[in-house]
Amino acid sequence: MNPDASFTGRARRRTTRPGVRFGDTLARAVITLGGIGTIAAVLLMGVFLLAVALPLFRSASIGGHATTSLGADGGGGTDAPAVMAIGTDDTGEIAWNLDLGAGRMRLLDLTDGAVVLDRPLGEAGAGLDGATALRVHPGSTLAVVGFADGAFRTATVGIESTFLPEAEIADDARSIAVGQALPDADGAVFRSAIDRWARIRVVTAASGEPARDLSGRIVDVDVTPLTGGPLVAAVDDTGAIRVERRSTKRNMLTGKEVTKRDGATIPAEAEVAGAAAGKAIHLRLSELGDQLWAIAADGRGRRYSIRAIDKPVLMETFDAGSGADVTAVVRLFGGNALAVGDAAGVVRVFFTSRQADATAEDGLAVVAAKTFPAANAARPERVTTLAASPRSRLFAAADAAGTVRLLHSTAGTAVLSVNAVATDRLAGTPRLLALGARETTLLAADDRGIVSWGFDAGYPEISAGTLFRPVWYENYPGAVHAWETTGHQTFESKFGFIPLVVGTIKATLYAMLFATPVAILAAIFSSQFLHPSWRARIKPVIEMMASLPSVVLGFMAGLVIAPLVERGLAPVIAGFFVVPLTLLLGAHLWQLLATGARMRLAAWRLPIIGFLGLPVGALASVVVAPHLERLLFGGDVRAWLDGRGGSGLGGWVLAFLPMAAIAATMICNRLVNPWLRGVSIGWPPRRAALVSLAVFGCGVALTVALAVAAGTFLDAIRLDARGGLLGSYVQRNAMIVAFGMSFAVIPLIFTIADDALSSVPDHLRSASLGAGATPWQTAIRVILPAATSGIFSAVMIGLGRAVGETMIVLMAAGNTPIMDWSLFSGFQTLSAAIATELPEAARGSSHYRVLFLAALTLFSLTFVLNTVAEIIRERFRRRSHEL
Amino acid sequence: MSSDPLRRRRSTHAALAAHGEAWVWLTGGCLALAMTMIIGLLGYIVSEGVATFWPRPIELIELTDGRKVLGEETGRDKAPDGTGRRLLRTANFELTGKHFEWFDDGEVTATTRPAEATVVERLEGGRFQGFPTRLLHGDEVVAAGGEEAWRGFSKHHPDVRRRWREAWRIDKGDRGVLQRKLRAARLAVVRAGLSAGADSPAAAAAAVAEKAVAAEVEAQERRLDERTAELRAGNEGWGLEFTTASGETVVLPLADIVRAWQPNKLSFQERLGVYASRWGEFLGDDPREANSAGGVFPAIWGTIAMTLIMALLVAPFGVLAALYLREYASRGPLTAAVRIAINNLAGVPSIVYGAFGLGFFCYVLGGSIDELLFRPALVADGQPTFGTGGLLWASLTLALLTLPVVIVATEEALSAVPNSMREGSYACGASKWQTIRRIVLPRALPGIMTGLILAMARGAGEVAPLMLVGVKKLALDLPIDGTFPYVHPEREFMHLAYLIYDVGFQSPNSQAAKPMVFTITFLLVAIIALLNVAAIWIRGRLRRRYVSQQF
Repeated sequence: MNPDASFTGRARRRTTRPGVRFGDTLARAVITLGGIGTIAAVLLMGVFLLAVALPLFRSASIGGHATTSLGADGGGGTDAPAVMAIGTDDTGEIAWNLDLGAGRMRLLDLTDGAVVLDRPLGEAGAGLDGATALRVHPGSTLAVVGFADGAFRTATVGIESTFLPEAEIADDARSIAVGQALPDADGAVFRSAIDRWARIRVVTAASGEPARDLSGRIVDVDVTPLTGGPLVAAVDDTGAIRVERRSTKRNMLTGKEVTKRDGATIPAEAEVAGAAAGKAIHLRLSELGDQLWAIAADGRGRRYSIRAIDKPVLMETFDAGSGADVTAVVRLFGGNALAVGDAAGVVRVFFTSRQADATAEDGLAVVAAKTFPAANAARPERVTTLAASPRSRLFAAADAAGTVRLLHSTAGTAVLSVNAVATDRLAGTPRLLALGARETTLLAADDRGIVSWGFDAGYPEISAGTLFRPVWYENYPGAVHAWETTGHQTFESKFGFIPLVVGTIKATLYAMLFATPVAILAAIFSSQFLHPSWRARIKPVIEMMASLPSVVLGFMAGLVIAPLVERGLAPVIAGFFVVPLTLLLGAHLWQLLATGARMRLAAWRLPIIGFLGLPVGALASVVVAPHLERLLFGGDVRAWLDGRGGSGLGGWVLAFLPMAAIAATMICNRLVNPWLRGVSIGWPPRRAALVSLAVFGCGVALTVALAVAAGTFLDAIRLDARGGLLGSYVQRNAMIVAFGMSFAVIPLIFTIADDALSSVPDHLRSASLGAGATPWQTAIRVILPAATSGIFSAVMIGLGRAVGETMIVLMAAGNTPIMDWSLFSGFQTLSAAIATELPEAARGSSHYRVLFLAALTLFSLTFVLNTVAEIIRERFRRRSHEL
Repeated sequence: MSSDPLRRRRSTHAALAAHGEAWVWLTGGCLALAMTMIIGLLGYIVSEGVATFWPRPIELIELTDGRKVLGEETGRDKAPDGTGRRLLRTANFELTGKHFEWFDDGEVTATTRPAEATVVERLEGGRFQGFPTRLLHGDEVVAAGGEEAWRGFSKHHPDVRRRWREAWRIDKGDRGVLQRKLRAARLAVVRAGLSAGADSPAAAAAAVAEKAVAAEVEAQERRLDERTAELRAGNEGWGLEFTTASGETVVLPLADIVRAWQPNKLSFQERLGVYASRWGEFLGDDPREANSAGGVFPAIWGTIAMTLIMALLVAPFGVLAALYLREYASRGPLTAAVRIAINNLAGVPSIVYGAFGLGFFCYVLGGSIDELLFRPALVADGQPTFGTGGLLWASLTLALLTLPVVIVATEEALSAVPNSMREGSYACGASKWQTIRRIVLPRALPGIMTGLILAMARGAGEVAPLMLVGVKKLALDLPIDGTFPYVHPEREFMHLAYLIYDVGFQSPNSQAAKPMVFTITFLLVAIIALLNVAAIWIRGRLRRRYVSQQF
């Protein structure tokens, strides 16, 4: 047979046309590529979230160092160490060094440690000669200088750097290399690493008249800028303290400036009754200028209130040293906390907080909130100096062995540690430290040199500890879980995850408690007892509820339901118990109908329940509510919830009612019904129904009795539900959220559960009914067990939806990250925090990354929940196939 | 038990408890409750939403202390002591400092509905209610007396309004175009400076061009100024004088009056007219008074634009992925795992997608695009173009969010195509792609469309991610408009669902804004219901087609 000839006579081509083959290959390539690409893009999301959140847990790293020698004679040749100050510019690339011993101001290029500028202070700095104490306010150039004769005066110390516009760059400056500086008349021109030119102006000069209220040598000074003028404090070697505020007013007529000095001197012999306060050698003001701390060498500290500047009031004495001598003190960013280092190498963070046992009249007490042990526990060395970061709660500490550590006062952890004393670094003990404005540069200086490091602190305020464990924040009475990222205390953001997690769990839990029973019971009815034609109509309606936007549900919950429930709280609470009761009662009355009528009406059961049962139940709730309120809550639920009036009994009775009902049902099923089954054989239906009604009545009475008994018992042992599960009522609360969220969750659970229940093979049902079981028995003992895993997966999927729901929670939960479990209080969830805070969080900041961590948490949580649900559903599908 | 078999046999029906009638009622109650919830919710939204714009009668009440108050009754409830009280929308915020006020029935001595009582909707300051007395034009009294003044107002107001509208169009549209032109020229200078150096001839040329554009823009601006000044002069002086219920006299400039009506005098047709006019404004105009009045056209437009672009993005990729999974990927545990993963992504909270959209699309992708293509704008005024939220990123985020929905729906549709049809096609010699294109896809198309429409319904109602990636409370520049290049993917936009959140929860006058929220909600729910009904309809058609084609 000729293979090429077909029976039509026309030759048939047996190869595929190239066009078709090409098309096929192309389609395969495009679809495979596009498909895999799309799937990968979707899965990329998890990876990206992880990539953003993960750097939070990166440990800090330190870069190379640069050393500058200030000459062998930097100390000025005297015995006393020279008074010095160091700091950096805004970029952290240029450092300055004021050396009052040698009377010189220096600019250092931190990339290689080269001295860019080294010139005498000249005329402007003449007023600083012979200084014995100097302090520069961090983050500004305001300084105060003290002298050997007891005088002290304000000064400006440091540098000011401004970016130069393109047009103002001189030609000789244009040619310098990146990272280099060119000295000029009043400072230098600097080409920064981001290739922009900056002018650096040295502004060191004395300003203001010296104050001469003290007589001894000034040993410590401090300054803080207030709106009217600087607040200055100084202590001399006799222990006398002077604090004064300087305000400059310009006379409108003459144009002359008048500086007013208000202040007070605390004499050296100001001893505290009972506890002799040592001679203060460390002096610190709070940033707001309302407190003054004086600490003696032996660690005895005093805290003064200087709200009235001319009358400092001693608030309390405290122990800052714990046995060892205090060697260094620094005020931390935020202005009201001190870090104190002692001779044993330990650094402690002190601040005031409201304490129950406070003796001070302002109710505050100084507490040692954080303790950092010595760098080398085996050989502790004296802490020589401390320096605080100008933008966060990070600070640096150096000890006599030359170990410089970066510590974080919120987290209470040592971020990194580096050795400053080495052949290519410092020769002597570091006696000054500075942290750059961007927290990228660390400077350490002794008398003869300065060493600098570039470092990356990472995200020191975030760790598993600060996220999930209670943290003692400044001004708090103790360690707490707190989430506070905006607001007035911005100097210390509180990134405690737990309040958000609790809020999320609370929203999910209460929503599921309400939605799950309703959805599953509804699914049982619709799949087992509803006529198929009804079911075909009802199911799409409930499914449509699932596609209602959550913002609509949130709006309805927050602005319509919340005020309604607030006005009628008692009927709503009553409704939870009265409506089911009415339905049960309705069923028992229904049994009283003649069998024939019941059969005829069976198809209309749902409308009868819906249009008769529910309204009657609702009405009954309204009628019962005032009585219930009077009986259980002393007349007013809201007042009762606030803790006014009534005993704890009412709450317990309601809380125990469901459990009591279950117990009563079990008693009926185990004891009464078997007995009744034996006795009632042969009874006419009506009589059986009447007896059943009577049994029901007894059951209700038993339920109430059990609940009251349990409630009385708990009330008798002085337990009160208020404060735990129940609390003061706020308009937007967990109950409203649960109700609003149920609109979203019920249809989801209902649809899947209904599918699972109705996909149980019919032969099981037929067999059960054929064996004589009633439809109810069939539904509960045959269908429901067969569908359990399907229903379980429905609940899991509902849970997944509830966990991540955003808009409803945002609009109906009040958005306050409170941590309690009360049904009637507001809360904030992870999702709501992301929605409200992420747009404002600076990209790459720890706030931003923590919010991404929250997103990652939600992502993985729902992913796991849904995977479990999917696996269970798959197994269920296989099993029901086998049945 | 077995001792008396006869007795057992006599029992023809089980004990009553076995029927579990009470429990059945409980389950039925739950179903009824679920039904009541959904129907009640929808019914409430529809009734409130539809009623918002209906002009309701306005009452003049006299109080025991002699005060007279004119207001629209908006609520009534029982005070704790059992007497009734009513909430009147008293309006006239500038006089009373309140928009609404409660009155106890006990303090009301008389309630009348005067025919002359007039409700005025203004551009700013909320509603005004009073009795018109005179129509003024400058110093001249055009009409005096309630009837006359009202007739005069009805005659002159349309002209005033027309002039106001034209001036407004010039201010909003024409000036915006000029400003954009100017900015483009300025950016050209920066661009030339960046690419060729600040002193290069190209930069100089661009600078010259910019000067020319600036001069031209200025000339045109001047012309526009003249025109608007002329229009405003035409409106100047026109005012309607009112006496309020409490006796104060207020003159409202006619140009500030959006519309006015005398609700107690209106016939049914006239009521319908006012109703239609207010709906028209709602659907076609820009919002006023912090979104709590006026229209929502930009939001409708934004919603439509965003949803459409999302659908355009999600459809091809969703179908590609589903085709790959169903037709090309080898069946194995890996494919099953991928399928489960995609299924699960449908359950990942939308806010997570939002965070991803902000972090990846806006910051990473948008930031790179800005660096590469829009550096001049970045340098000139530090404004990111794509590096912030916008239409494109919002659409992409929602496309990602709805992708699992489309993939799953498409897969179901593909697997619903009987294998016999594929095999038949192969048997006829068709290649795989030919089979997919000619046999499988056409049969699966309705199913794919259903999935797509459901995805659009979800996208149209989703807000949480949009709050992060580009929705704004006020963005009058439409993302798709008549100026080149017509689609502006970088623009921020308004969205109906976000408007619900914004107006409902961040409005200064929330009581007055509430009806507006209901109307927006009604509109949104209607759009989503429409999309759902379309999906159900298509699903129904699909089923029918399969029933007839089964072989």
